[in-house]
Amino acid sequence: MYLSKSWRDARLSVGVFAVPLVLELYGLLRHPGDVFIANGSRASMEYLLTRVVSITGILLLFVGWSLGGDGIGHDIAEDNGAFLLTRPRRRRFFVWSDSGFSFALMAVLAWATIFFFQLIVYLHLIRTRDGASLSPLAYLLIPLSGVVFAGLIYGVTYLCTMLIPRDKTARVISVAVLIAYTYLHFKAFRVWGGLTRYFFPSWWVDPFPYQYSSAVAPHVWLELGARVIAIVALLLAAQFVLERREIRA
Amino acid sequence: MTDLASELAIETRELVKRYRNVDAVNGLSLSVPRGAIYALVGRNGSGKTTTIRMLLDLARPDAGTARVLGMDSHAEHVTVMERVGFVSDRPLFGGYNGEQLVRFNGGFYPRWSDELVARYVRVFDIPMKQKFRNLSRGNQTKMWLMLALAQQPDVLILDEPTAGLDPVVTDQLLRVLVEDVASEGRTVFMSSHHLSEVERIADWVGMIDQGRLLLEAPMEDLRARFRRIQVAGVAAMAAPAAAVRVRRSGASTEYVVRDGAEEFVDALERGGATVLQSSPMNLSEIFLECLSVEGKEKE
Repeated sequence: MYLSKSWRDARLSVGVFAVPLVLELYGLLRHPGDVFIANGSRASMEYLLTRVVSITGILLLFVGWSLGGDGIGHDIAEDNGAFLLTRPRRRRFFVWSDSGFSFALMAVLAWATIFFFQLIVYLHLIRTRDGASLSPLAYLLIPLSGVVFAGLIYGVTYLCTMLIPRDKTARVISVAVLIAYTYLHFKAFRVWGGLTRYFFPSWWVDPFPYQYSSAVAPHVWLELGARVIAIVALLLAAQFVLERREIRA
Repeated sequence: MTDLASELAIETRELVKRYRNVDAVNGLSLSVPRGAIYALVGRNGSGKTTTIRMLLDLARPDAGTARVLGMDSHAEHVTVMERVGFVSDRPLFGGYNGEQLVRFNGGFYPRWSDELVARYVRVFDIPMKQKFRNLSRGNQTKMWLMLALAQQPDVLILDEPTAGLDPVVTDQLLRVLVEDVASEGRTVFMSSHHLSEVERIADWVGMIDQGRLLLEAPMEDLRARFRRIQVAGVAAMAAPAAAVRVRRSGASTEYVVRDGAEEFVDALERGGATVLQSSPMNLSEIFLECLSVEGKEKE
């Protein structure tokens, strides 16, 4: 029903996410074993993989932004609001249905990336340092930080589509907000240094910041938890706006 | 209040909706009996669609209440919408074809009937493989109506259902409303400014202008009560209280009365006036007379 519509709307984003990975796999299959991870370095696998995933993060950013712009706010802008919101559901159903589906999808994509990496290692399509392996916590934390990152982008975009009636304008403004916040983060970092994480935290939480150690970053759960609270706050704000919004009929 | 406690399918009391300084709906009190085909008629911008939006909880009233099947349209939105079908001229998902729309919509309704889908696809001849955005205006309205009917609603709310439709489609649509919906005891509430169509099918009429109710009555009542009475010469008699309008022209005087036409004709004749004719009025004439009175009262 509504989930099938969500999947239909999300297919393109998943395609965009998958294409680079498929191309990468194709390249590796043509030249198996040519790529050597951590060649001559003693960097931890967790550290290296976090870098790999942060590159995938660009794709997750796109997915978060795209899914955030495809929710009920988009449908209302497209003039489908009168139809959708006269179905026998509370308005909050649409917000949490959109969000639940999107987070599940982003989680699948983030974990799929890790397993994709493991698969190409397993198939010897890339080589790693002998004896190098991922700690079990890495399987949890690296994708989780990716989901939380994409979730923040999703929350900002989703709220923008709820606040701004015009679909394209909402998407453009959400990009402006993301860029403006990132700019402020870096400006603040120059002034406050390490304190920035408390006042202008970055979008991304790096769970394995130490190059030569598999140790987890201090307060990583706190940092992830704070961002999850921010995501929930953004979605509650979107729900608040939707429940008061007037719909054309 | 449960729905059993209410004999009204739709009820608004002192409903108010303001947009900045404009009163879109201004103290509107409607009573739509169950099983009626009720037409809310009025000019463009008179508040018809805003009223419907409040009934469907798409807009929140600034004051007053809107109840459907005895339930508050906002507080009991989900239960209300399980039993209400809605037809609009707004787009559905443009990229979906009929079959996909049926699958999408059916999941929302416990009483959804695929048999009714098949029936109305046949009756309306809807091209189900075509994307909604590629359908003609008439087929888009038919699609809306088919989706609404398949959910087997107790109340069907239609916002300007025949606007922009050709006479054949209009006829098809009105026929279904009368023969399939109202005959089963379901309530039809429709807004329109096509008075000839309304007159053809409605059994209750509410007239609205500038957000206020001018008149609400059964259609038969309106036809029986409103009379145009033409008297030769200038009648010396004062117009009755129920006179909507008196127009004097050289050779005759014309009265439009909303009640007690027969008594008035008797009184005129007893007073020696020659009544040339006393004729019933159609809905369009009644509407225009009500509007002109409203305008004069404002002046």
